[in-house]
Amino acid sequence: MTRLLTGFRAHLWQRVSAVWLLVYVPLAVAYLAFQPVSSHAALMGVLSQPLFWVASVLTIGLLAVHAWVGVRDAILDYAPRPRVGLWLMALATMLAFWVGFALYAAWRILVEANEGGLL
Amino acid sequence: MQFSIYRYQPESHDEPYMQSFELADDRINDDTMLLGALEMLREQDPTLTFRSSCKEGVCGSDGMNVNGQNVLSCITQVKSLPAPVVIRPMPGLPVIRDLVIDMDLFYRHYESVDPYLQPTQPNQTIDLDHELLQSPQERERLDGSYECILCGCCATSCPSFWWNPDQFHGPAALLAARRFVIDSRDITTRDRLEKLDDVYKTFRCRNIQNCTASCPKGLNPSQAINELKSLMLKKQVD
Repeated sequence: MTRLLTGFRAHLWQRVSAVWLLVYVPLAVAYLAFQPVSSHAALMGVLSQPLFWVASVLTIGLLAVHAWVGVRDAILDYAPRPRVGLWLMALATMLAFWVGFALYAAWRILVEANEGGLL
Repeated sequence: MQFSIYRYQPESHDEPYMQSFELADDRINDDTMLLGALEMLREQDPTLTFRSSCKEGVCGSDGMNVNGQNVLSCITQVKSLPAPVVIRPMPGLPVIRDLVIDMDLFYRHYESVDPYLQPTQPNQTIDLDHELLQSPQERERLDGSYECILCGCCATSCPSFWWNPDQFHGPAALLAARRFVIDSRDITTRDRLEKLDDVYKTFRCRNIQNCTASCPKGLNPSQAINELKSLMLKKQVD
């Protein structure tokens, strides 16, 4: 991830992901705000809408990229040089856990929606 | 007029300290520059050390931090400064003595961007027996880049340079890099951009813009760095 996201590519991906988040977050909030969700099943129904689900999974990836570049920059600027590697490792581990958890949640949404006959 | 000046004399003091000086108001005219005032103060204390050469804002040797702003003392009017005038060496580089800093790192960054025309590549050579002509428009693009006098006011006011002085090229070197990247007579544009495409060398710039605010020649290194980033995007697309 570090080699793929360095220099200009990191700069570009941070901006691309920022634009995506700027579009997705308000739309997602508006979408969820205007859906009448009264039960867990209804919520699963909303979250498993194909377009919304795909956009949300894409957001998980782009948010991870955005967070990696942003926090990595802060670490490179502020962390003492001998500990930069340690901090970057901690960040990568944390993001990997978060992405894994988020993707698992997304998968469970599909499974539950399928079991509930929502798909 | 009161002056408070940073003193560091390693042979007699382990620690730096601030020393107060007083200069009679009748010795300061409307056209007295700070460098002139420092020379008068040196009459009081001949050990006061600072660099100077051309005394007209061309050589860039007398950069210093005055009331928190990096300036060239030879083109800074004393009467424009609120008293007491607090004078320190430019921050971010090692102090050798009083207001004299070690600019070696700054120059090494400048050197590392190959600040000269490179008309040859392994598979392409320009005939150096003939003039390399530029159109007036191509020449005009260099305005705002070549005027840099390497005083260091920009780099030493840049927090990104303070944080990674050995790795981030800094505004002056990147301004020079951009000057040769866009020069129509240089044929190593792609190599130059690839060399600059590094998480430290160029991309530590966070658009803080202290460089632009402190440049005594009115140049805009921040914009030049952004242009380098745009050129890298263009290179990726081409």
